[in-house]
Amino acid sequence: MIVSTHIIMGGKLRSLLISMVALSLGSMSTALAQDADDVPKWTAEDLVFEASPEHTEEFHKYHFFHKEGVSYDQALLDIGECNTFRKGPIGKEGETFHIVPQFVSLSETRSYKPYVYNPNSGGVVGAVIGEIVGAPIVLKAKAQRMRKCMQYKGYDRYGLSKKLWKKIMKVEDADLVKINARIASGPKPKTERLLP
Amino acid sequence: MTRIIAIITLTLCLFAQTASAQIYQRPDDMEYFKQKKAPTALEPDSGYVFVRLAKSANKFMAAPTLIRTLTDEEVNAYEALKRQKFEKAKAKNEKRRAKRIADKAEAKKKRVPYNKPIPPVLTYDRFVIEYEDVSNVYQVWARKEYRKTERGREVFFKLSPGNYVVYDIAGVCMCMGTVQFQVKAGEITDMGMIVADAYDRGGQISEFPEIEAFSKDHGEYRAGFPYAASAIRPATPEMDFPEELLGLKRVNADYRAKGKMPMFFSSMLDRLVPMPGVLSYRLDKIIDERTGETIE
Repeated sequence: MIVSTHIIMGGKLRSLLISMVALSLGSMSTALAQDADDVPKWTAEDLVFEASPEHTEEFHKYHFFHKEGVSYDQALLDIGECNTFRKGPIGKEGETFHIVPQFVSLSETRSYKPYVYNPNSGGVVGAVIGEIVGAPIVLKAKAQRMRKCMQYKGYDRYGLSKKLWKKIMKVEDADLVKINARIASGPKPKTERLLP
Repeated sequence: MTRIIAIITLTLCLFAQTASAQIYQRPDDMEYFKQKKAPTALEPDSGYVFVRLAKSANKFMAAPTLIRTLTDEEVNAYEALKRQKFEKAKAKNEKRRAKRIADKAEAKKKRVPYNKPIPPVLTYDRFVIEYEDVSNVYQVWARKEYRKTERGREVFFKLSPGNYVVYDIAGVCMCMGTVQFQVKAGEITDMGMIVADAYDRGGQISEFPEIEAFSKDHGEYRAGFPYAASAIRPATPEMDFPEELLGLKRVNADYRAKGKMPMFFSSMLDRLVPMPGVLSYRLDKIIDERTGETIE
């Protein structure tokens, strides 16, 4: 069902019309095809919701990324790398305090690959990222790192509802990369592109 | 009840103590100078760095954190110890994971809830050990200035000679592109000027053209995000330099591009504003402007 929604912001009716398919979350998860390794193959077309002013205010926290013409394999590498940055300092998951160590293993000649995709890591039970329980400051820093990294890689950002965002982000690490890579390399979202 | 409170307080105190043990301590070889006690000669075995920190109209000023890159010997010694500790921890982690996974499957079969978390797979890259044999992180403090000037502050300090990476500026990791430079013994290495700005201090446009140009596409950040961008301006003869130090040997930092680095600390992520002739970018690829080649 195609619906047009007026977005009301700050009491003002904006002449912004967004055409979107309204789909409830419940029907979405059942309707979608499942991967062999149980990773849902969602695309931007499945991430459609009715945007209310409450949603638009929270787009800085809840969003997804898309790049035109990028292959799924490339998106896997890109999102994998940015996800490593998103997770933050090594060995201190979710740590945002400015605790500076006395020693770090940094060499002049050795090259650092922030992320190497391992195709065998799928299906392994990993830790669910404590995104939802994290303090706001932790979430803000995580979002900043992910956005900056994806911006430099040339990806566009699109808004999401919190509910849908949880769906694509509150998953095991390997799945998170796969799900988001599928979305990023899929059809172009019909909603408006946000500023980086 | 009082006992419980006492136990909680004690635990918190103990935790605070262990936490404070991790807090940064300045490496022994780092020493700040003040204009009042300006050195009249340079030690032949020590390196010296002079850096200007510009103060923006938005009243923002940022100092860098430098990391001395390790020598091959240092890397090998550290890696050997880490590998040894990792093998032990890995075996423990695997055993624990296997047990939890089996328990969970068992619970599922019996249809009883199972809430114990399954520990993530331990990887070598994200494994951290305590290591005190080497100190190579040099956090520069603006408040330890050599002198204050109209444009901001100047910091002058002594450290071990070596190759230094500008890792962090204003608590923002330059993990996605930065520069490195050599500090040689017996001379002052002039880093030039660190220029950084923030938009949440009343200004929407940075007075520094390179910051403004670099962050003009940063969209939502401009609306109240407390950080815009950081740049380094290599030293020029026009830049202020204390008269009393003019007699000492001084060289400009020989900046070279440095490839991506993992996040060791810091909370935000960015990259240094491109430096003409040294550092530029093609999307997220880092280009060494001296050779025109991409750095991995």
